[in-house]
Amino acid sequence: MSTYLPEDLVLKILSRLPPKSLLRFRSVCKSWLSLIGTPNYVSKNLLNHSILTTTAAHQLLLVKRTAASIPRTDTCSFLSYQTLSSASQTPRILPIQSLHGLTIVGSCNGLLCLFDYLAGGEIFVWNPATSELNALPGASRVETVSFGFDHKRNEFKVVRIRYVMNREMPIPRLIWGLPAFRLDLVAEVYRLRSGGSWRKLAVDGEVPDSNTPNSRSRWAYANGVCFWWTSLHMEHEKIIAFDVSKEVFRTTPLPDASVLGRRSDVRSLTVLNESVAMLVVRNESKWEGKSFDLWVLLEFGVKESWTQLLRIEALPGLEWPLGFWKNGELFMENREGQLVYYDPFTKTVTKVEVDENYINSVKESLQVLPYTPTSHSIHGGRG
Amino acid sequence: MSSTLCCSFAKNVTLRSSDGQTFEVEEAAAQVSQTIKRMIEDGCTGSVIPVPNLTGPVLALVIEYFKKHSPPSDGCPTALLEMEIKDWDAKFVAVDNDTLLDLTLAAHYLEIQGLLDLTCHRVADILNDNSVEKIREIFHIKNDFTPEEEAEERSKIQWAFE
Repeated sequence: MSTYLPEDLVLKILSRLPPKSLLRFRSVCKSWLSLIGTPNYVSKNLLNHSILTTTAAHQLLLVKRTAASIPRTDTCSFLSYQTLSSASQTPRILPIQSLHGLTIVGSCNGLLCLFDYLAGGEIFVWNPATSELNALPGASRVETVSFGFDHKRNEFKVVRIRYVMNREMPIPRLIWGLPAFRLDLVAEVYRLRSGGSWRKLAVDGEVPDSNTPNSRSRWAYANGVCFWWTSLHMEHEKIIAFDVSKEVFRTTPLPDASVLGRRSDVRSLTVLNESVAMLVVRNESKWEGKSFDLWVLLEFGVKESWTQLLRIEALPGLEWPLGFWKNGELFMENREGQLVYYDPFTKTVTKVEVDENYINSVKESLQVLPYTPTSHSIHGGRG
Repeated sequence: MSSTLCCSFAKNVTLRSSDGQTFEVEEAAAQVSQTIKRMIEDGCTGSVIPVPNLTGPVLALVIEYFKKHSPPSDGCPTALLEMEIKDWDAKFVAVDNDTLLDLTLAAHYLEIQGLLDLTCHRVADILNDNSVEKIREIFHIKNDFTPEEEAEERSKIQWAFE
């Protein structure tokens, strides 16, 4: 039998490959080159399909909203991940309320990690399905927190970065009449199953710094790796990744400023189908609104693998990117604080009905995360 | 009705490969193929069903797949059965590359969705682990780039080759 494969069969096979392999196989022959295509969001080629289409099977989409007035009330609503129809009758109020609102710093295998940056850096792990709540031992000067699952040891871990006074390094002058010490950034890990205490990591490279508090999507999590955007001394912008299993930090520089745009344009970090994605938010004129450039890092550690997929031209009313849905649609918060999604293929904006008791909130109030309920205990593995 | 009685009523069909070999198989098993199912429904069962795209050895393999995947006639515990079939499937496609491609094509022509998913997945795994040169060899693809064109294409995405 001839081993010539018809084109639709080649398509079927290639559509199962990750972006890196597809890029490599563009040089097999000319017909494969045109089949695979170039990374350009709006064409429906194989490469874009591979970059955009989520393979993970999430059950629900969690929408966290923070009321505009102080004290802020944090509530969670759950939508079906597939259809975005409401999966909960009434929104759940978070088990901990904070004066300034809590941030969900991670949603992983059914557990949520909550962080109160402004009120002294308290960290909680919560299972909404069982209402189990675990407060982790606290500490001062916690700058940033992330949460993930160690696939090798089959357990959850929380990582926090905080400043610790270095008593061996006094600063040669008094501050407020008292001896002063240098503050060092340290990374610490807490293993949920073992519990007990935080363990300081011996860090080789850089860790995320105080420029990356858990405010406004400067961090993300995908498949056992936590990511932060950082810009030490506003000089070298980079992505720092923490591998939850290996407990090591790695960095990747951002694309050159010449292609990325003004430094004043805000960078928002998110995840697109298990790759790091970054949206550069540009303030156009007051009348035109904001525009958004989407960059994807196809291979961590390789600066050249940053790929610009799309520019969303100024669309009035769109305020802030929140994360991607299943086929590359981008969830956003609009100027009224409502949840919408932008479909880059049709260039349309669709409003998502979260529930009837919509709290009319101000900016910086929505968070959207994939979530799949679990009945497992916080202290257990995944089973 | 007992299962023995069921079996005695089972109807067989005869399939003929491109090189003239004939195989007898239970009609229910052969209907794992959507193409053959349609032919049976259209009344081709009286005579031999021709399968012109498959050689004898490949058709023999496909019939093995039919038998394993024909709908169970008794109440076998499905979870156990599923695990067993999964193991069997994995072994079934652990064959040399030419046979794997023949099976992929056969699944395509005969519209056997399960076998098509299985073979495409296996082929994709093999692709992932191999160089561009090796892939051309496996698929018998002629490199129609000039050396300059190929070098240029590669230089744009050098990182993907490392």
